Amino acid sequence: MKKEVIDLGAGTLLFSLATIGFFFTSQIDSNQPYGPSFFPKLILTLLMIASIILVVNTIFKWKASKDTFQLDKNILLTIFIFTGVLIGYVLLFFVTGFIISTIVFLLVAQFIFGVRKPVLLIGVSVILPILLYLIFTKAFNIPLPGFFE
Amino acid sequence: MSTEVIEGILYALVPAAIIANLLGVALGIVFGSLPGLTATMGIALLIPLTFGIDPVVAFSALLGVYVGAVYAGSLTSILVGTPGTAAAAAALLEGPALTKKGEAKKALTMTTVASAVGGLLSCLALILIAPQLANVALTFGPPEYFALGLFGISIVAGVSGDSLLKGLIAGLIGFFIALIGMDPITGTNRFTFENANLLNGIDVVPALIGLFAISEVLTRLEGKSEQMKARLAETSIGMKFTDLKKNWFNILRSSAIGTFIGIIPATGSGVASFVAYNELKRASNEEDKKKFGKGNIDGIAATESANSAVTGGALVPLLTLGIPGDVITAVLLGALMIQGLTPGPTLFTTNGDIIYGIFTALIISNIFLLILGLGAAKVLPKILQIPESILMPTIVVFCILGSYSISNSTFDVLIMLVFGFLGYLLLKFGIPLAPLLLAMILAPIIETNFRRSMLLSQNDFSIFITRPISAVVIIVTLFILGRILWNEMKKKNLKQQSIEGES
Repeated sequence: MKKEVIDLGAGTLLFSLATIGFFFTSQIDSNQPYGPSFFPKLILTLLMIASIILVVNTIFKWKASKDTFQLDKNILLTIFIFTGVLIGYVLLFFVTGFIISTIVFLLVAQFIFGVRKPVLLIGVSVILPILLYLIFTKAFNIPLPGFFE
Repeated sequence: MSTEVIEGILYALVPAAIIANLLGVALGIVFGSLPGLTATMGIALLIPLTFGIDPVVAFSALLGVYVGAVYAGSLTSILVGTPGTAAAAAALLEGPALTKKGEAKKALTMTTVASAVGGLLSCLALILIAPQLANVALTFGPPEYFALGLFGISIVAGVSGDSLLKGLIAGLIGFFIALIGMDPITGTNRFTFENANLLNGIDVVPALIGLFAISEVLTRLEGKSEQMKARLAETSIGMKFTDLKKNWFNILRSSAIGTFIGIIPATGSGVASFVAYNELKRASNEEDKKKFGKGNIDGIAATESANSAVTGGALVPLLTLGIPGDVITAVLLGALMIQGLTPGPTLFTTNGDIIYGIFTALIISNIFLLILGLGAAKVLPKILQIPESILMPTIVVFCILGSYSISNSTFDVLIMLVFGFLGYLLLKFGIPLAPLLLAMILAPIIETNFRRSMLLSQNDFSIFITRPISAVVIIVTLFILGRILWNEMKKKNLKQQSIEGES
């Protein structure tokens, strides 16, 4: 695939989002010339113009360009899985508090990053959250959600 | 007067004050380097311990934390691409690239030396010309702030990397994000979708942690660890005296920028370091300009000296006028009042000895910063020897901890995560993150002050050019923007010519 596909995608996506955003600015009450909707309208208009320039520039460069890129399905899959793990970590953090969610996260995340030694995997995953919890709550006096708080 | 000066110096030199100062700097370094833990938090944590303690001893500890935390935010920026504080974001422009080149130790040493020099020079400004400087800052009204914000936006070009257009897009996205929440003038809700958490807008710190740290972790997951392995062998490259000699004027200029921006209330050290970086880039010749963004030690000297010089600058309006410029100085104001001192012009006449004690304590803090920082520069690069497979998940844990700790809010954790994904996506699109952050910091200054100016002048734009400071800053900004566009067109023409030449 040509590298320009990325810029074309970025430009189109930004233009679409800026247009949707502009639609929402009409909901902001304003009867002054430089009221609450002035800057949102200005910035979103500029964003639309910039996205159009990006798309037009890319189209002009299209023929001359020789740069290509390939999507690696394995990398893409790893990124997707890790994204899911991150979302899961945050949700678990809300439910179970810091220690349990972090133990689970560190076990899974280290495994994804390639740690295979059980001692290292379990040791880091258990010791680090407890140590951090104690430092933050006892030494720094910063409250953290504990077990199921 | 002279007895007050001597008494003040002696207050700051008693063993209790020296120990408090040292511990304060050490605590500040820990707080600054952990993402999400801020100088404000460190100071707020110490205040209850300072009840009933001699004021200069108390302020030795508090200023130690302040100086240490502002400095240390950049350490993690440089080593693992995760800024500890918003003020340290500019260190990302050169720091991680230096680490990738195997020059982490050199970068950390320069950070320490530049920060200490910046801090000391700003102390000097504080001692010598505080009242005069405060008076200049006091003449700043909405038009001047707006002009200054606009000037800040011109920096977007300097931190955009290869494509000015993409830098501009990043800046516009950042500006838009800063508009979310309650309107600062009328209180109208904008893009809040009836979510109460969004009323106060999006906090810069969790956004920053996500943008830079989570996106970095995801990028590392793509298997770019070769660079990491390569640099482990070379982390011992240190700073040479010639690096420092080459940068003396750069550090001096950046410190002056930092001090001045520090004095102006509500601008902050994040802006100062970006301005200093941009000024360095502008002052460089065409050959040197190509080195920026690829691990240029001069850039670190500029951002770090400016960043730390803000500390002395921010104390000017606090001590001379009783006006806190940011949250940290507001907390320090509280600490002064707890000690029974009322900040303002009378403080110099009624408690001159304590004021000079505080000045001396600030100087000592910067000396301790140099000593502890140089030690840290030797030890900290060893973090890089922790295998990436353990370091990256640990960074995520710190991101969660940091974003939660800012205001004990789970919403901030969500914001951090969303910005992490956004940062990764933008990087994939080739859109730089620094302009986005810069615009997020500057947008409230620009919007609020533009609209206040319009209210003051009844929508007459001439308010910006009839006031001398604002007029000068706007003319300079327009000149810079014109030059940027001119250079961009020249670059495009040269490119076109070379393509035609090839074919």
